Amino acid sequence: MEEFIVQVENISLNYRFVKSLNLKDWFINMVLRKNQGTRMKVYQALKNVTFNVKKGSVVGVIGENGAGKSTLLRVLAKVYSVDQGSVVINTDSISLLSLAAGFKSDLSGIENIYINGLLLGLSKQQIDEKLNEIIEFSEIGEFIENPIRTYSSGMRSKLAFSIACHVDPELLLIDEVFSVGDARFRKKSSARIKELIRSDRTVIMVSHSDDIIEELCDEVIWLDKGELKAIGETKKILKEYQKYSNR
Amino acid sequence: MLNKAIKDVLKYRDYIYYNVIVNLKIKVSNTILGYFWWLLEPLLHMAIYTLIIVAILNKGDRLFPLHVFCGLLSWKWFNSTLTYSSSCLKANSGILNQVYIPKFILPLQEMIGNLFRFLFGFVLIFVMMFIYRIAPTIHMFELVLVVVVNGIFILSFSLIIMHVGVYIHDTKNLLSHFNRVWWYLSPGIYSLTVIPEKYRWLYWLNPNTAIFESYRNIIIRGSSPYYIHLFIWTIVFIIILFFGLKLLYRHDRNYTKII
Repeated sequence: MEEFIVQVENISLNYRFVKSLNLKDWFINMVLRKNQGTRMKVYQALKNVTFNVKKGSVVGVIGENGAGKSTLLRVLAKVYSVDQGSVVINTDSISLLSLAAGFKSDLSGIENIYINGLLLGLSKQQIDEKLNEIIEFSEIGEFIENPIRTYSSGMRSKLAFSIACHVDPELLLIDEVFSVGDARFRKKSSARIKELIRSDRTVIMVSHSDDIIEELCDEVIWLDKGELKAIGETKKILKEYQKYSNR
Repeated sequence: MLNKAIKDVLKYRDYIYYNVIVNLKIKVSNTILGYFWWLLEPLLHMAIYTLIIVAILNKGDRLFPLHVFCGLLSWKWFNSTLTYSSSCLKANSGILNQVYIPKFILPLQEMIGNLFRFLFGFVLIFVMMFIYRIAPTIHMFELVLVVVVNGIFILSFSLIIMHVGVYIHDTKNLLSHFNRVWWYLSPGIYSLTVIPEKYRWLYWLNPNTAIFESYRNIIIRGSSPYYIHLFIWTIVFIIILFFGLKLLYRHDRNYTKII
């Protein structure tokens, strides 16, 4: 029997938008004795999604903007709990590689490497060892001593990428990080990602680039408006998806 | 619950430690006066109160500055931690959307950071004691206990505020006004003796009274803190802390879904 590293069954997830207290509306509703609607607006980002991922496989997640791809990865990274259904992940070593990393803009690059590294599950000692490698990979040079607020947006994302790709998880979740920096850095970073993928770890990645998905993934999950549209062999699903996109 | 929290603190201790140090550094590194601000800020605050009460209104005694300082330091610790807690999830949403952290770590780390500033302020208390020729007594060692109770007080309240802050965006604004009223209703810039005896029991329903007056007992009057009051409050704070942790753990992976 094959071993599944991720088992997702029937999950649904809601985002909630909190509306500010609006005194005018509140007053009008009071006077008119209208029923106060809820202050929360609910948006269902995932609906009844079910799938399994085999250990050691590379799975792509495709779909249009707002289909719930990033949300799905955050569920798998245990950042979000689901509102319905169950998620079983048979490892504790998970890391989500995304560029939305929270840097503290008043801190230097080095200090941010430590903070992010510690959060991503590296120990202080491991970071000490990898520090030079990370700085070198990021190509930031002397700027590493300066506060992040002095960085250009390219430098920020290069640094974020360098930190994230030096974490060694069993389950790696990649959220659209293939287009970082200039052309040269992009080549280097995709080489690095491929390196991460080719070793025997399990990878689930989101990408809008059909070429990358086709090149790297064994299997594809297609999400559409929060629902699982199709899952299966890469070539077949990609063809269907392209047909759908060109409608 | 407390067990789980302690386990999490140990697990994230490197992160907490590093973050506390680095946050303290940010707050001062961009200014010319740097660490000096930690002394200057409460000092200026005290100077304003002294000017108004002593010079303009002609009230308060010789020890007024020291008297104010005993309450002010504790209050600043409380106020800045709570203000941060009311919006800390939003401020850290980038990293919180990428990795899971037990959310109570954020107020905890801020409370510890502000503790250092609080302790820094104690340097001024010692200086003032020297100026006023108040000899330190053996009771000084009891300060540790009061500081611990003070810390639990701050942490327990900030957990609750953090939870509320997620659902009600006005929390931060409301809090700043509420806290100001609370400060003036506490025996900070006046002493308990100006309150008519009839109403004085009401003041003991305010945890600040026990804490401020305990600091004053030790520092100015050279006696023990109000042990019974502190003990009762500690039980209350621990119940709130317990309740807060339970609340936070239950919603731990839901907060970031709320936008």
